[in-house]
Amino acid sequence: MDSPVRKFSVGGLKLSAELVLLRLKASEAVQIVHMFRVLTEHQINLIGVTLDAFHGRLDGVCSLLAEDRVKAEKVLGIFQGCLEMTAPVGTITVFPVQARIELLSALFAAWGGAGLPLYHIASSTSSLTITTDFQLLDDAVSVVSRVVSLPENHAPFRPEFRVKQI
Amino acid sequence: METIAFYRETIIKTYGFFEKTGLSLITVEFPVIQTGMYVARALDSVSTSGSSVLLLTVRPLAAGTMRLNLLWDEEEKERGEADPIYHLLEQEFKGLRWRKEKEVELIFFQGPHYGDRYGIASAALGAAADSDVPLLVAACIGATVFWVLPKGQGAPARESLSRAFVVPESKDRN
Repeated sequence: MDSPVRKFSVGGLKLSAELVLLRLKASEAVQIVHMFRVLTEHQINLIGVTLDAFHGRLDGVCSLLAEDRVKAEKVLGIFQGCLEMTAPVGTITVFPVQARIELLSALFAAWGGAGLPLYHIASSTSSLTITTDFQLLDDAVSVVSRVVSLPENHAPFRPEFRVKQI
Repeated sequence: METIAFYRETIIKTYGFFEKTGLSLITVEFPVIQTGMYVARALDSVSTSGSSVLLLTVRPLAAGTMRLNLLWDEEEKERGEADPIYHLLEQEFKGLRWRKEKEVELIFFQGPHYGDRYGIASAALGAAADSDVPLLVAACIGATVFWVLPKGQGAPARESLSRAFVVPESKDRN
């Protein structure tokens, strides 16, 4: 008889709206800070950002709402060759994570076993966010639910209202 | 139904800056098809020390490669003492491009609706660029901004951030 799979208690899961993932490539002439300033000037919010400088130059990824895609493509057109888009994507966020390595390990083992695309991961002590295909978010919930247990009165996965700066 | 609220913010407010020093950071690049495996290996290697993971990022590079950054608080070792995690990582990441940096520093901060507002990441990155702060990793996760910096750079980074973000003084409550 198989032993029961251990589940980790978490506070909740949250799914995002439809997003676009941008991979930003800095160069001598173009720095990420310039791209971010242009996006800010046009009031485009970045949902999640990961930048690193392994080879001395800072570059990375960010996400934005799918509804901002056309505007972003237009305003970032001046940075030709410096970005790639993956769409449509979405995120699943697990919270709180509380720096539990065992939880993170179990999640990624389950994710890898399910074969879902994994475009971006960002985890702090409070939450873990995984970016995958937007159409596969329900599958992502199934995979994550094998590893975590949710409270009885857990709120809906998709937010029922949105805060937007105008 | 739509609710609209107005407020003026001449400089972005934050709840405060928090710092940690003496941390360890590994960065490794691997094929995208093996992401789950290498993320698990990195976590398992660090877990042997009983440490807490403070930050984990994995993101795409060009041509089917991913880059992982894992930040944790490793117990300080005596000078000359062996680093068992380093040797574990050497075995797990054999043949890959990777590095481990010791005694790095973390500064993080959050504010109201940071995840819903434009301009936060730009303000933070602009502060770093204006002061030549050498960022190793920068991440915006939810409503929190994280900076990972080389040893000794936490204080200068905090100073540069203070020019773009303000911690309001608390009012006395009678």
